[in-house]
Amino acid sequence: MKGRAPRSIPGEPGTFDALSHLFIEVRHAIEGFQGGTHPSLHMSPSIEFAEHRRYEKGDDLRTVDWKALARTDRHFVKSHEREAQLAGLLLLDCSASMDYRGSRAAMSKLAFARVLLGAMGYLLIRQGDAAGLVTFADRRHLYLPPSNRPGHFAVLMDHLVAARAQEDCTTDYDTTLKEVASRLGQRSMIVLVTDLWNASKETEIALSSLCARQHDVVLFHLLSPDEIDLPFEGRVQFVGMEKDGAVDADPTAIRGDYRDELKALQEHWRRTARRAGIDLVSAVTSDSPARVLAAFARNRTGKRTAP
Amino acid sequence: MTFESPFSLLGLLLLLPLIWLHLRRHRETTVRFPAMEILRRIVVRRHLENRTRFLLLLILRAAVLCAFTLAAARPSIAVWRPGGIRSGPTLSQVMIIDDSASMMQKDEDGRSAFSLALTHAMAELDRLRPEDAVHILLAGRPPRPVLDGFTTDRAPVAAALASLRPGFRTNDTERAIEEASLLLQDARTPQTEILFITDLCGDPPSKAVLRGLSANLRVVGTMPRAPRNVSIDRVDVAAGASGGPLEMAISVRVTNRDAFRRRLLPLKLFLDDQPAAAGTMDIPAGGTATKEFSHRFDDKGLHRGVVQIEGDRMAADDRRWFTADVRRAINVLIINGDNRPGSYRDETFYLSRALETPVPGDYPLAVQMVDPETAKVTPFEDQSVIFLAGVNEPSPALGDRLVAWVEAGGGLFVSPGTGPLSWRHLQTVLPGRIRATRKHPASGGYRPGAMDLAHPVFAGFEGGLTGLENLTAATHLLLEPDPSLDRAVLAQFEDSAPLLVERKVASGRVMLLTTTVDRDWTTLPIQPGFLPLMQRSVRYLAASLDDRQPRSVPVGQAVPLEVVEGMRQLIVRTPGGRNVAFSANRLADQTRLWFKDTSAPGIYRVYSRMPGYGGLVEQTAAAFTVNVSPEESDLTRTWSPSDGGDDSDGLYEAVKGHLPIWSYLLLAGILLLLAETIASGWGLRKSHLGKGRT
Repeated sequence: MKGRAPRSIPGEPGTFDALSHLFIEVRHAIEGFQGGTHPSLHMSPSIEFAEHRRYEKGDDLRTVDWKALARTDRHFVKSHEREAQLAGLLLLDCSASMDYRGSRAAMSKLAFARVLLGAMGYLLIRQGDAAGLVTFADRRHLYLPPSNRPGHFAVLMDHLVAARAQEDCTTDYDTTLKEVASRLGQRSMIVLVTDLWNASKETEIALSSLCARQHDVVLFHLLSPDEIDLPFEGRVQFVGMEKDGAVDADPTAIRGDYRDELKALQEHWRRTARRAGIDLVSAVTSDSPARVLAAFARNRTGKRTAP
Repeated sequence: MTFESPFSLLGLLLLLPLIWLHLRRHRETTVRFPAMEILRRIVVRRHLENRTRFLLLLILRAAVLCAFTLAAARPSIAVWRPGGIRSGPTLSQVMIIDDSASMMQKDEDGRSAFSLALTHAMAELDRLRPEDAVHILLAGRPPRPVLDGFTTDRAPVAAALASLRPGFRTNDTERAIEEASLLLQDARTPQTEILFITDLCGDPPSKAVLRGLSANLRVVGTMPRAPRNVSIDRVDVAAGASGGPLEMAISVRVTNRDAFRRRLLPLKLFLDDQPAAAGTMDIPAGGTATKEFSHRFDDKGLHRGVVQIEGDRMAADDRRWFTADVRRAINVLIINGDNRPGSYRDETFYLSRALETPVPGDYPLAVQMVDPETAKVTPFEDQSVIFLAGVNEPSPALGDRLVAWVEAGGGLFVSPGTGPLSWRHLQTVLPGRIRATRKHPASGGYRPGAMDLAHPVFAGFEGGLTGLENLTAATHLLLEPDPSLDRAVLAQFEDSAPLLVERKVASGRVMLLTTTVDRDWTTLPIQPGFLPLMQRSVRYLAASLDDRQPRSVPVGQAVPLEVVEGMRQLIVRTPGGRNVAFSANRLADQTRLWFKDTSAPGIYRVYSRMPGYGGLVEQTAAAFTVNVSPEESDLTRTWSPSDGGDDSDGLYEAVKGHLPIWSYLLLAGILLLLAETIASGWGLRKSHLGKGRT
């Protein structure tokens, strides 16, 4: 953090301490503007040897490995990698449905997501990477470009704290994701925290498109415990939070079907994520954000693969 | 269905809160929830299932409540079953013996249904145990008890049974069973029973009566096979076809209830106890035939007649009595309210002359004129038509007599006088309430408008109204409009105000002329058409009287007799020659009394003693005949084994008993409760399964 202490996030005072030992690794080599702790494919004599490859016409002769030529009578060139800086863009869904807390969670989904993204931002900036923030609902509300300048984390935290669920607003993933894709010139880490309600086929395509551009996409699928098991009793009139009407139902009678439907939806997103290369993390707001993040980081460790 | 604890049925009121709670459950809690797309998909998919489940649960819960409530009321239903030997605890029995006319039918051995019924009753009496109580009721209309009450002493019961004779009454099974049921309500024995011994004819009791019975009903039929029967159903008497005053046409209708055609059935007519005519009839199977007789009587007055056919095994309906009231002329009584003897100014000067003028080829009119005071004591029975001319305020006594006269079928013609009117005692029969008296402002008068030329009164005016169209009325009455009255305007003024109005009251008719019948208010009496108008009005009103048949009632039915003011004695002479007298005390302040002792068929003659008339005077119009009801001639069995009875040994027997069904209802309630539990757990089970999978 380069001499500046992180701000605390309301409701989660010990989150940063708990995460201080964690180290975020990304799956792919990421192109960065500044030297950092992440490997880059940019070649430089002063940096670490990466591998041999066959010489091709046009390669700089200075890179030819003469010792290998002597031993094998073939032309190889040495490629080197250098430490590169990671650009992490944190996307926060601020639709009305994110304001749902339920009866058994300590905080709403939006509050949970703010903690989660704040911690992610802190970790990124602490290790010398850039972090940016996008808040959106039915349209994009904020775009804070990735940066690791001194004081940037404080700005990011200010925006996170100011983020509010938009009353009666639904989520427009497609426009936001397209805009993000157009703004990110280099391969980046994109962290999207959302409940995925109202996500469409176009949303899947947009996320897959980001992965296809070599961005590292992490999708936190956030749900309240009440959204998982529908614990209500008696006749209930369910009123939508995003101007999506109301339905009368007997939760006792439909609970089984509801769980089946939710399970099918989660399975669908798991398959979609696996196919597109999205790192999908299902989280429940009754859990601790630190534990979710720790589990995510542990899962990422050792998954570093070549592009 | 009957209930031992009917107050328990109040539990059914719990249905209301149950239904209310079900409907209220629709909107209990409102929850803002994000996962609407899933919920909506499920609710749409399960909408029909949810509605069905909701209705099913509501129906099941209501059914459970009804079943337990009904079971608590301890219901039982009445069912028929074959009769058998009774056993069990002490019994109170009401023995109903059918003594209607049909019980006179005889079997092949010449035994009547009634004697067989008595034999069976005696046998039943022997079967009863000493501690069993018995009562006897006769089922003819009206039902009447034979004993004073329930008794365990067999001797008076046997004596009463032995003294019974068949009657000519009409069967009234339903009322007899109801009365027996009422008698048994006070019985203190564990078992109660109604034993109905009958020939199986006549209408069975309605289902409502059977349902309401608390006692067992045992029906025993003594005549399982009905004999062939031919009966005289009706005798009509009317004026003869030739139009002579002493000639009468007598029409006899005979019904053949046999399955075979009856050929050359002998038939005899007796008049005044003398053979008058004889003939034969052919009657199709199951059909009727009519025989017409025409007879010229020697003199006017009441003549007695009887028609008789060849006897069969049901003799009670092979003879039918009738009376013929032969009159020499149409009697008209004019009650003159403005009596000025010998003067053309008299109210009835023109009227009496118009009526007394003989019309060739028609019955003469015998006109009698009285003042209102004399009219109060003048017998109306001999009159055909009464004119109330210029009587502006009839006394209450006269008003009541006139109303009774019209309601009994008489004809009344009313016209106003010139003084103030007060017809309140006649209001119930008048064709309308008088609204006002209207006077023409000029010296002329109101002219007539439309007339109902299709009406019998104007039927002879097709060639012209002979001056009626030129009449004027300087003054006439205005009537209140009243659509509820059955009245017809026969003639009206140019402005549609009624001139001559007719109203039918019961079987009588009333005509109201809204102006005077003398020249005080109108020029009508001096028009040439006045004479035929009055003559036709009288004959039209008299026709209603002529249409009336001599009074004939079924055996057992009460007959109304008119009482005239001042009448000192009224005597009814029965067919057996017995006089039933009503003294002056009984007649005081009465306009009508009912003669109930019509148990024997035949002719009942009526005599009265009036002041100034000397001895007894026969009231020929009041005479009546009593005959066996044609219903009793129909010997078709209305009770059959299909009702659950048994006639295997030649004696039909069926028992209507009460089967308790509360145990079945309790079982049904338990099963319904089980079904409700399964149905209500249906959603929960699915929910729990879902929880396990998550």
